Amino acid sequence: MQLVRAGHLKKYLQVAEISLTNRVVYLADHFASSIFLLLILFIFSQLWRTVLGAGGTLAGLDSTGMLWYMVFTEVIVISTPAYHRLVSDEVKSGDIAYKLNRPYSYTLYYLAAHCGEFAIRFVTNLAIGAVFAYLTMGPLQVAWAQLGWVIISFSLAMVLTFLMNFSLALLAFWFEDNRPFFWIQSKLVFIFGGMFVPVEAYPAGLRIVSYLLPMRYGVSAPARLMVDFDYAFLWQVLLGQFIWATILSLITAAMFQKGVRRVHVNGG
Amino acid sequence: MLTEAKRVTKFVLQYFSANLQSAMEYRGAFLSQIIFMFVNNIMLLFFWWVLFSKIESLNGWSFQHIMRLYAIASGAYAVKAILFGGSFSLSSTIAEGGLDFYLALPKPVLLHVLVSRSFASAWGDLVFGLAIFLLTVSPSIGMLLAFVILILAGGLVMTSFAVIAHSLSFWVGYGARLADELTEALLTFSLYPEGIFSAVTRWVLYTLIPAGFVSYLPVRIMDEFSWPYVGLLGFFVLGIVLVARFIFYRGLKRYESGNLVVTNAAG
Amino acid sequence: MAVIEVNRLHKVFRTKTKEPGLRGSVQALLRPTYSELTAVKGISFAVEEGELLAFIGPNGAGKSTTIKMLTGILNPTGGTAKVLGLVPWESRLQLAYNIGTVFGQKSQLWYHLPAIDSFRLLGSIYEIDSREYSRRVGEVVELFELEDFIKTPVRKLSLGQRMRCEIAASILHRPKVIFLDEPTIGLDVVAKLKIRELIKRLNEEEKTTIFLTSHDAGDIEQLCKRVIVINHGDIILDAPTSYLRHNYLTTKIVNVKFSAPCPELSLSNVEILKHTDKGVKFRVDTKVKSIEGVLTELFAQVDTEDISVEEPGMEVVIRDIYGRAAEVGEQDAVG
Repeated sequence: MQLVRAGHLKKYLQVAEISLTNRVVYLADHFASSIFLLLILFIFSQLWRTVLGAGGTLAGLDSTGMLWYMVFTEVIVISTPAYHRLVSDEVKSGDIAYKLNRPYSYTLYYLAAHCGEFAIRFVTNLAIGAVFAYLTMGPLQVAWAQLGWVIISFSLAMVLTFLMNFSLALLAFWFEDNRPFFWIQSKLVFIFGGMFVPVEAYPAGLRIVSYLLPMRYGVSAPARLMVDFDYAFLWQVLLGQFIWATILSLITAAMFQKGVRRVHVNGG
Repeated sequence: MLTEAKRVTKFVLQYFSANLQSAMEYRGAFLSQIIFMFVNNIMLLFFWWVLFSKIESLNGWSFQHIMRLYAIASGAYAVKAILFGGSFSLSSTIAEGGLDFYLALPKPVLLHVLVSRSFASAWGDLVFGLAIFLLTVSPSIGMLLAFVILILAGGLVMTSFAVIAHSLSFWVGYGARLADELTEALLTFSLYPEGIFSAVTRWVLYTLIPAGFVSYLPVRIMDEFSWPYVGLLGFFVLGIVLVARFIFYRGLKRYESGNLVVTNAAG
Repeated sequence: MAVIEVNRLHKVFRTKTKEPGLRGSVQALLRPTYSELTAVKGISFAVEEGELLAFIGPNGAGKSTTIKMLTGILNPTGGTAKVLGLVPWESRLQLAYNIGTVFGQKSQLWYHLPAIDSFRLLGSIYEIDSREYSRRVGEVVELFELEDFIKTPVRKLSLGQRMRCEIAASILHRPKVIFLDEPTIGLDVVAKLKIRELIKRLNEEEKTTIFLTSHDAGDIEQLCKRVIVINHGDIILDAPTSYLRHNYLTTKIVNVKFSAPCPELSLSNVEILKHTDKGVKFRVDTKVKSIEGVLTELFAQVDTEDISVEEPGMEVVIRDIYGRAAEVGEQDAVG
């Protein structure tokens, strides 16, 4: 991957901005698609109240904490844009060849677009989810003083999600149909990303596997930091996120280099 | 009455076999879709498995109950998607003038539209439903029969509900979106145990969004068999089928007069 | 005996109109305003048993609306119609057993299955008993020459083959009347000719009454004895095809490709549209001069490699009919 020089940063910021405003245009459409979020939150608000009614906790969270935890995991997942489909299509059709001689890095271009869109979707989805959680379960005890750390963790999660999707999209260089990989990944996110319950509640074996995989650092860990901040946990999460971001960056860069060579050999 | 029922059944089965043959043209895709759907559904059970490793029971519901709930809800969904697949796209069929074709043929329009499509992936739901159902009971012909009857009942409720939701397209534009949300809500509620919901919600789930008749009541019938429950289920199924039929044909009158909201004018 | 009788059949579409914006939506809800569109303006005609009738007109003329009313899909606003003695919108189901329809928009064949499988399903939709069914399929296969591809999945058939199966599928139940909506649309010349031949054969051998819509003048000329032209919901011409041919379908465009360059060419009574070294394109009015006459003149002067004759488009014919009607009107006024 190319390194970004300060002067170049501007154009990527602009890409992010355009992708963000592009999304605003579809805001009405977007709110309509939040119905499912409300539905699932409604069901779980009643579920957690029943299960953890009087002072019960699961993985250290009470019913309010559980619902807020779910607000964040769901919002992260449904806010993740689907640029990987575009990338897969560009790779398969060979259109990527045209994008390669433009004066920007292909990877960074999509990273910027991903972040821009993720940001706007995250904010709007969170607004809806938070209002619902507030009305049904009451307020979340936010650790305002430590919020900066939590935001850093969410940002790293956003990059991590991008790298996971982008590297799978690049598999299109080698596989005619890369959809099964995305399908498997979405299932892994569901389980090892701890969509419904924090992975800390899992039986020992599964818990350890989820600690080792990147999904937890993209979804469960930041959500949990948000609802139940703890410094020891923070360092653990940041370390995990940093390690996985590095590994996935290296893998992506290697895949990209190898893949692009195939494009040049095959003439696009 | 009986000969009519026989004719309808024969008609449904004929379309069923044509749809199945059609899916078999792509055997590989058919099989992989089934497997994907199977694994997909198992993932959903994972959450409950984790939860029940922490708690004993949930308002009287055990993990076994949840498995039966999933079995019956997936089976009912499969009935809707395999036998009555046309119910998924009914509003676009209405809005895009697709009913003309069925109106020109000598079979009941609604039934014909419903059976005209079938989703191959739903075989995965059926296999999944049957498999986990058999895990929760001691397998026997009687149990198998009970499963078939219960998912047929649930499938009819889901299909009728979809017909009602999609028939809104006869009166309002953009009905497709609303219908999709409503049918999605019914499916989602069918996959969560009744025991977690408040009294008000339960009331809604036995009326407006009848998830209770898709899966809760059938699970209860498996648990503690009683004729009143069976009668109630049968009564509701019959009722919602008739209501759906009534609403659809009321809407069809508007269609025949050419005064739909989305009339594509003359031609 | 008339199999189709139409009397002052009238159809008005009424649609809610809405001003743009939220205010408009509220307004439309409280005090809806309607706009009316008359699709068919009180038309009358009758079709005799065994007739092969063309019902033609440009897009949006009211052809489909009329067909939909005659098959019972749409209720009219006014007027009466009877098909085989039945009022279509009252006895739709009963009528359905006795008519056949081919709509362009929805194929009755299953895309991934061989046509024979769709036939079997249609056989039971029309409740044909199994012995009659196998005899009938044999007949239809022979009539439409489907032998070679009846067992091939429909997706692998050419458009022409598919249309042959499509029409065959609609006559399995021996309908007395069949409605064909644009049966040749999108087909190449050879396939068009074949379909026309088969439709003609169906009409002659089975005495089926055929009601056909098209906007291809060629379909009408080669196929039908009678033609009804509809435009803006009105019948503007109801006459034998020969009348149409002699009076309106008279201008032809001839395209000639030379085998050797020919810079000089003199043809009488034609309008030269384009003339190059390689070929010539001209318009002939067959009332003034026959095609044979022009071609004889042409062959005397030049060796040709290829000749094609184009029919005037439907739009030209309609413009012509209107023009002629206006002329008649003026004469009437004078006389």
